[in-house]
Amino acid sequence: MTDGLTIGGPRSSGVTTASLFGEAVRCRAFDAELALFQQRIRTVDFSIGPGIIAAADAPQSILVAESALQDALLALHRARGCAQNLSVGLARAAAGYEIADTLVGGAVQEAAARFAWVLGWALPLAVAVTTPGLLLVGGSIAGSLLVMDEPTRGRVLSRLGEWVRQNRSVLSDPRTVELVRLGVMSADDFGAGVAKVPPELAHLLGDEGLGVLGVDTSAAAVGVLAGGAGLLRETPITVRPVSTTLPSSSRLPPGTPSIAERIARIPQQPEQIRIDRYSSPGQPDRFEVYLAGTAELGLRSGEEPWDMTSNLAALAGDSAPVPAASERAAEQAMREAGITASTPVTLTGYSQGGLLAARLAASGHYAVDGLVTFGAPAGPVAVPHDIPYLALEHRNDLVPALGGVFESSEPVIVRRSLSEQELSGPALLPAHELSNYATTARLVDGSDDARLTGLLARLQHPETAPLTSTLYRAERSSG
Amino acid sequence: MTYSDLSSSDLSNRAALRILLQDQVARLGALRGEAGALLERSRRTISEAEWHGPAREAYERLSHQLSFELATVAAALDDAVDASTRGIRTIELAPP
Repeated sequence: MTDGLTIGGPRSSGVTTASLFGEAVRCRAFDAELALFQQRIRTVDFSIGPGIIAAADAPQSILVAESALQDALLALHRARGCAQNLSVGLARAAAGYEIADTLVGGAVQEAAARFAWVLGWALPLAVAVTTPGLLLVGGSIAGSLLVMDEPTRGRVLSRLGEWVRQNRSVLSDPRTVELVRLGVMSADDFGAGVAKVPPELAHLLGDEGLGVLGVDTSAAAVGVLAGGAGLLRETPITVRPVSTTLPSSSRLPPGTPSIAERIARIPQQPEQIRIDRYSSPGQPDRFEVYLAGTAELGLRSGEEPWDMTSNLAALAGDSAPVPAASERAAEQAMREAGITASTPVTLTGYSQGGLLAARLAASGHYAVDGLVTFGAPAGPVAVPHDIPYLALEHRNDLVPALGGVFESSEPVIVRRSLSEQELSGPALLPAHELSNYATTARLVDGSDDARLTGLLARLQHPETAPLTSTLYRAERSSG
Repeated sequence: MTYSDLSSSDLSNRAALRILLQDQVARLGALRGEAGALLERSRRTISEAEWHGPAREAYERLSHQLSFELATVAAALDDAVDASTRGIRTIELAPP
């Protein structure tokens, strides 16, 4: 049975290559089984040799049996040929699909970038043409809402909310997700079109070219615009440990956690950071850091640093004037936990936490020996290629698409399309729910795909023993 | 040559062959059962494959060929069991 996982590099794939690679492995195992079966038939065949047949003047039927056994051996030989061809063919097909996806993905992105540039270039004209109409329609709606009595206005707004809830499945449509991804990747080209930068230069500077402009610079531009309106402004932060537990009370098992266990250890509000310390015989202590997802969706910075302000600043990365509050909080907690530039550390994060984990891994300030992200918009972050990096994404999840594609890092990406039942929850973005990522994580742990098992082995440190587990709470010190 | 022409040495060889054949039939019967299971697994694998794409056709063709060859193995083992059983009967029918 297939597990529906697609395992590959930074580009998406339309075929569940994990199941293809899995079937290739199963066909190889089946061939080995047939080889053993062949050997056992030969053993039976040899048990009655020509000597006894001649000496006993055996009946004709014995020769018929001998001939039938030879037929069986020949058919088995052919069956093994099929199994071997299937194994090699399936593995090649899976690799071929991934190459084709890379080529198609690149071409689509290129076309989207050029289209976005034209849109940007034509924006002033479009604004001039559509503004009167938009003002008329918008003014009519706003006017109608204003003249309505309170109960009627409440009913209209409630129905509008209901309509959004009923049609939220559009947000979980993989086509919407890919459109958003293309839109994010093309935002810089749109801006270049607005600024009348020649298309060749825009292409050269964009993420399809030299990568000078990209998702990060687009996010920084949005941050500057929002900051001018008093929104999405960064602030100082404070971080404090909330609780520290010993392994006896936390019942942490020895060795590093599986992918499903990592999900379970991502802290829930009000805490945002968890740091587990492990001892390794004859080696320095090593750490596992877990970072939570976005907790506050407002555009004004409040007390919570895991908010949209941090999301935008983290997406802008080094283009942001100040690092994201949540990133600074994670760094401070790591420092307080005793993590230095030479301390081995594995980072795990969900959503915004995954983006932060990728940023910390890319910073070069830590000896990161593993990175695991769930539904993280970490596309623009250039994580060094020697760090074992696993990224789980749902094809129906909009959030990872907000980071575009992985232009300058090489994670092993596991993608899965969620079933209708999994998407039927009450959340606006059910595909982004941690509970659904927990299901995918269990499938990852049970996968026999060679690329995945190889990566999971690199994330494992079976000789380590847990020492402490500490939860941290960060807050913005002024809003 | 008829059974009455067989020497005592021939008869003892025949008794030995009969024992070997009985053992062969038992082992072939077990192998036949396993061949059936292998065939069933190979058929189930094709029906459960959920992926689609340009390579699907070649995959199905090879998988059906594999199932066909395994069916041939099972039929040949059936023939071998039948022939061996007939051989045992022929020997048993021989006069002492």
